[in-house]
Amino acid sequence: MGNKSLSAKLSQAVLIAVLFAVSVVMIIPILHVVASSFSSQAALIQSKFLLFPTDFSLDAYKYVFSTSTFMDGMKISLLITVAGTALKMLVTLMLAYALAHKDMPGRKIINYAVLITLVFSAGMIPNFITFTSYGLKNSLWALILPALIDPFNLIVIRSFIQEIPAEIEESAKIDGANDARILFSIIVPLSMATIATFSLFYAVVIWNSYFDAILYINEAKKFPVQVLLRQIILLSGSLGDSSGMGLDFYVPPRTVRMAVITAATAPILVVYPFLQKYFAKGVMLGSVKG
Amino acid sequence: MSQTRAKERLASMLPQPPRIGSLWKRIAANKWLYLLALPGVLYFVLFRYTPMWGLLIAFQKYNAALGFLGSEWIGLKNFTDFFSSPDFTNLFRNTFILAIYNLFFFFPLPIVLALMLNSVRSYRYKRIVQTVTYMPHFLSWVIIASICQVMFTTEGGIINDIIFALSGKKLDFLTNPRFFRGMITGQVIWRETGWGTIIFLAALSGVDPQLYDAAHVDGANGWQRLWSITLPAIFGTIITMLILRLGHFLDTGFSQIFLMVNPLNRDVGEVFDTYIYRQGIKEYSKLSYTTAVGMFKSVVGLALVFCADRIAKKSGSSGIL
Amino acid sequence: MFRNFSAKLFSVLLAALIALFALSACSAGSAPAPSDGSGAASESVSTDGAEPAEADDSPFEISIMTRMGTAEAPLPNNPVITEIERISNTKLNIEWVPAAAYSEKINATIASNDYPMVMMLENGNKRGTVEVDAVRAGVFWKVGDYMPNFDNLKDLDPGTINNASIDGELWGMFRTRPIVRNGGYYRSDWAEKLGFGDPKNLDELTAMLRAFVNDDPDGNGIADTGGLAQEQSFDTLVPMLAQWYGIGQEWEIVDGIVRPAFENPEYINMLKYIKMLYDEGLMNRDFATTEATKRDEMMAGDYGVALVSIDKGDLSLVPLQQRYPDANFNVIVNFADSPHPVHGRSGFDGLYYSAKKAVPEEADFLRIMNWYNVMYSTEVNNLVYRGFEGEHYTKTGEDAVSISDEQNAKYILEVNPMEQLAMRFTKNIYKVDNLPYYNAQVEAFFAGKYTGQVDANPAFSWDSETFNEKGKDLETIYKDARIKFVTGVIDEAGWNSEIERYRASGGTEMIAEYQAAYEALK
Repeated sequence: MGNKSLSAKLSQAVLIAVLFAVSVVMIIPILHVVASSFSSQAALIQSKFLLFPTDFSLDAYKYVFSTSTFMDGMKISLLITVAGTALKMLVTLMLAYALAHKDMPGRKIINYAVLITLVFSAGMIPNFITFTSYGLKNSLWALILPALIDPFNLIVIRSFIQEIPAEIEESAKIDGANDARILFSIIVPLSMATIATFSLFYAVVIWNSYFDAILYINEAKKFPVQVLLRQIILLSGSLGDSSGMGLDFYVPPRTVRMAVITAATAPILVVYPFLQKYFAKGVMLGSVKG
Repeated sequence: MSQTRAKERLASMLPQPPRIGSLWKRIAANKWLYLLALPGVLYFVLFRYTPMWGLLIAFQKYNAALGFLGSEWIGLKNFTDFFSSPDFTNLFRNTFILAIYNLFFFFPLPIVLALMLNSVRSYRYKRIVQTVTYMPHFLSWVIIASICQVMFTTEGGIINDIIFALSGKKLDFLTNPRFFRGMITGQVIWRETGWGTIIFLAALSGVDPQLYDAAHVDGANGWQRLWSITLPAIFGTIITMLILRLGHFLDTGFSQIFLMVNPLNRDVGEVFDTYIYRQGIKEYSKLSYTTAVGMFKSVVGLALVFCADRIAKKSGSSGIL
Repeated sequence: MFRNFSAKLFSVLLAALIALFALSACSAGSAPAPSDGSGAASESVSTDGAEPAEADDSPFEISIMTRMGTAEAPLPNNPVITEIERISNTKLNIEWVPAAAYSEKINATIASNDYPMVMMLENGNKRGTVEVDAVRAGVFWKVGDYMPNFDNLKDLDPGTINNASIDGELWGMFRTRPIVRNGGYYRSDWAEKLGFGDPKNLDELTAMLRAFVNDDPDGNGIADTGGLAQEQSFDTLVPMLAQWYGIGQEWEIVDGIVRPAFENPEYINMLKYIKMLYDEGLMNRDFATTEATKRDEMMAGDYGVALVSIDKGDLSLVPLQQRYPDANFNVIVNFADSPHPVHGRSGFDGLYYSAKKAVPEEADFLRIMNWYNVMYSTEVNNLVYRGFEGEHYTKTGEDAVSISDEQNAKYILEVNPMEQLAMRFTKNIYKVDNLPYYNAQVEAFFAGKYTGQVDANPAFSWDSETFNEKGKDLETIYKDARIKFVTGVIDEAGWNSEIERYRASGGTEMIAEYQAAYEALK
């Protein structure tokens, strides 16, 4: 007994140490970005690798918030992320649930069809031509509908649902519930970890979208915040094909680049801790026994 | 799980009675399922399959001004040009090696990290580490590349300063072809390991804690519990993730590579995706050519998925089809 | 049987899908319906068939698609735009497209046949295939035919017009930019301390670099100063040095024979010079992985020399003077002793094209030409580059102004984005007194001193099929080889074999095609 708890304690200690090292490696560049955003440009140039705000300055943030562009973009981003995630999750869940039933005729074809779209995509221009013919030009729907269901997400959610014991559904059917009722009142509560996970995945994708926004949307006031972020990063001179850039650009200092990244990423970062409670152990199990 | 599957396989091997009549009955019985599936299926038809005429561009010499119907048809020429171009072997080798590195060095890590997080006793510590490790995913490759430049450069980069202090030498991480693949894979590991744990943690949350308690009572130690309870519980998820990942086997991700490639490491750095970019973007829009290359990648990915799925099914998993 | 049913269902679905494909492919080939009216970019003109002679005085609406050069798009009530509209009697519906996806947006616009009335096409070092294809397909109005009828447009620089032409004709209205655009910046305070002036020749430049690196110009006793701050692209370094060695830009014409610049016997000497700078530590040894902004930051205190685009020098100045208030730059455009002309660029950046689909009536296109005419006037030019008197600058003389910090802040917000609309960067713009590094060279450059002595890249308007196919790849071969030579990865024999590879990979064909193009356009 004594030996076992000692080795158990030891492995816990090793675990904690390893996780600590991993966390440190992960967080150092993040600290750099955040610290740089709160420093002056001169301090940033002079230092080797800033980890704490040096020569504290809010200039970068003042620049970011100096016009309403940032906040306008934030509002748009919030709107499309919340609405879009809800819609995408709903549609995906419904289809995944349907496809989880092995006795549904036509299931195989749809599965194959979905799989093909996992690897084949039509390309930006054919998509653009097709979707604008649907009327998506200059519409925020262009940021939601084209990627409404991610085949990857669909397949994984389907496989998760398939692992739910059949008895649960059978007993509900005996009680007279139809499939829709079963989905929403029984399967959903049992799949909260799955739903939380993929809602997060969808949300992040929508939140990060900027390319489609530029392509489909004409009015600057409808741009999500990531468009602003990308523009600032681009102007700050990224690596790669620098010779292709035009010569008429005004270049914001590097601190501004850091500030926009921090400000545009912070909202989505705070979502995860709220979702963590769904990852608690044994979420599913009570209902089978009960 | 595998017991039910074995039963099903057995049942399907017996002679089947004619089922057309019962087929319509089954459709009717499942009408709710069809209703639920309808929006999703409509989506796939309208937004995924309808634009697929675009894939035919690969068989044309596409001229944007003339449009799809006005452009010349050249059959398989784009493909033959691509396969016979002197770059092809290099591109294939670079892409393939990076894909293998990714598979072997990156793929297991989120699983390992998820298992580690799962075994930590302190709930609070687990939450903190989780939050920290998933932050890197939110930095775009542009910033990551830029930070790598600053950290790893031989002229005053902090990493090289440390190495120099320890060994008196400097390593040209950013320009030496020897380091390129390690750098790329390292960046992927840094950015995506934490994020990748999410799905496995979700799967782990479905494990009955009573199983652990029972094992503990039976005298199983931590490793044995891991081996006989935890791993089997997420085995299906691991297989699913692996198969799906193979669908994108030749996709290396354009931004990351493009930002880290320079004239000195281009020999090992140029992959299909950067090649497509250089050919297909800005002034030189050779859309047909790039569509053909993309198609090639997709076909390979699809083939890999089918093979992997077959293998998975043969060894008892349910696969993804 | 269940299997048969599956097969039948599958084929019915397939047929339906194919029908769907065909349907949408048809609509893709022809012009789809214009977008819903909420988009600004494709509003059509509403002159109701009025003859130009009739007094239709309502402002002419023009929809414009152009690239955003600043972080944010100008606000809708931007005073500069309002003033331009008033002067030109137009209503401008400008769609500012972020640079991150500009070329893709252009491609998509052309592919979907849904044009704004005026569309800006970027140009890199060469005319793009999309642009050329569209021009040859007859999509656009030919600007060149109409230019002579307008006062401000009839005397534009013929060299620039030549560079902007496709197949010998000018199809788009180009935005004039300085032809001479490269400049060598150096720290004048360091130079003064160590006894240097403007480097008149290459040896003086080298001596200055050595002094900057070795002689502690900032006087702090630590060897922390650098010489040349170089970024990963040689696109400004090589043209500036090539001026000294007498090498042409990218392409040369010698005795009627066209050849790439690197076939000039002096080219390898120039590369050896750069290599010397690298080996001796007179330039930053990690240039191959240095981004342009990092290079700008290096100039802001640690390095003494940079060869950059001349109008971007002030980027480094502000952070530099934050750290060292007495620091300053001087700039040269060419070595004073140099017997060779200055290398110029194309003379323009971007062209405005008008698609006939969006502007069906010639009368309307004439009104667009009229707008170009207005944009090319001195008055609008100063408006676009300097803003309003009092708000954005204070006049100090006939042709000169000064800008305070407060005015500068307003400038950045309201005027700076307008650079993307600016049509003519010329000597007519007010000079800014309190630009710290302002000196004789820059003044001469603004005053057009170099216009007669400029040597341009002749290949700009030559067309080559091989270039369209592999141009970028070929370029990569010799550009990569340069860098590898400088860093010592390959030696001179390696350089030569890379040149051979260039020829073997299509270079020979391209040279021949350029030769033919040159002779055709002579």
